[in-house]
Amino acid sequence: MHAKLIVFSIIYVAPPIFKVPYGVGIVEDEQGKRMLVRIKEEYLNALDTGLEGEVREEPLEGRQLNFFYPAK
Amino acid sequence: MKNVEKGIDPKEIGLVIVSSVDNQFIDQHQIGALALQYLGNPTGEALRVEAACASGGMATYVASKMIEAGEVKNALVVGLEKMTSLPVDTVTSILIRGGSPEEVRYGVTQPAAYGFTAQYYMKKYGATEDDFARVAVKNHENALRNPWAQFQKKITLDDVKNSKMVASPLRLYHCSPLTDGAAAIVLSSEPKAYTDNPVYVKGIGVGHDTLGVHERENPGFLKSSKIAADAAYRKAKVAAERVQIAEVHDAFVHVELMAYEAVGLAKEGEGYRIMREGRTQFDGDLPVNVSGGLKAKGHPIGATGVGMLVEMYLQLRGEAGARQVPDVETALIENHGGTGATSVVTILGR
Repeated sequence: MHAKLIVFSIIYVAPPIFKVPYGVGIVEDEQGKRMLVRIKEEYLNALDTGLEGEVREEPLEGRQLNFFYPAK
Repeated sequence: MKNVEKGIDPKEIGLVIVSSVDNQFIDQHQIGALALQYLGNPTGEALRVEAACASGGMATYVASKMIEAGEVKNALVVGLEKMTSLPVDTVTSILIRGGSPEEVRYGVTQPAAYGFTAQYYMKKYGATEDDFARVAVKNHENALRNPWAQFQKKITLDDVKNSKMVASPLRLYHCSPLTDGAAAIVLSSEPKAYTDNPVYVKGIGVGHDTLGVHERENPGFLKSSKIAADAAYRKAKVAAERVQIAEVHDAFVHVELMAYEAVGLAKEGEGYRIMREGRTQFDGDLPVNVSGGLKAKGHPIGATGVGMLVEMYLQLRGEAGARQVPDVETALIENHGGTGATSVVTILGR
């Protein structure tokens, strides 16, 4: 699913079950629906609001989460 | 009881409401009944209220409504939290649950959820990181006049901007600390029986929004606080222009600016401008968080909303010592929980 990054945060202090740093964000799809996403560590340095990309559902530590992949 | 110069017999307190957010902090259930027992009134009634960081405001709201309804004559509202006895990791795990179930699932900590609101606010309205830092510097300076404040330390803009990142764009000095603390107030339908210098709850309102920041149309605006403020002003029959002093919920410093706007002290998107103009400094025409705010006075989450009322009570009675603002007649308190899913706004007056 195509989506635009509305806001994001890179987390450095978190409960022990989460490995820091990791990214979280709010994206908006083409219909204007907003959702939470996780962002993988390799993309954290390239983040900016308004960035476009793809959202894919993937497993993480027993949970199914939406991940945001910035467009190249 | 201190500050009620004619005294009050504990047996005259018909209702005790305790505000505390999480049992893990004190490892004790039934703290309402326990407070009643300590008070020494076996025929009274007691309960506990939880609304995340708005618990203190909500406890006051419930007590106020019970008095208004004629159910009780006097109510004691106690706020408390003991946060420093647990490891920081455990506290972070407790605090994350102030967010929506989905935020918890995604690991969106409270600083990250507030980070969303900070970034959105900057992007939409043009505030800068310097504006956020100015709030931290102001509130630390205010805390120097408050002997009860957790931090008695002046800080600079550079200290804030160079402090370590917690959850971008929020750094350590943007965040309120973990605090142990307690505060209490007595609400009465006949205050002149106990004091010749009463402070009145002129109006109190509650507002709500979604728990999840992603579910809000405008994450840069505190809708719940606007709803609560509108209700409080309506009840008090006063306009925002009458407010002379305020304590607002600066759990993260940018939210102080958002609170100015939500309660009508500034127009939407202009909270940071009145900060830049110096209006909300201690010597400005609209001092905000003269106690040091949550940022520097401290944020014992269950006690915070009650502590804010105590501060404005002292200001209205002219008993605030070195931080006294002259001739206060009308004061406002904005206390919200989570990132603003619950908000309580109270107008106090003489």
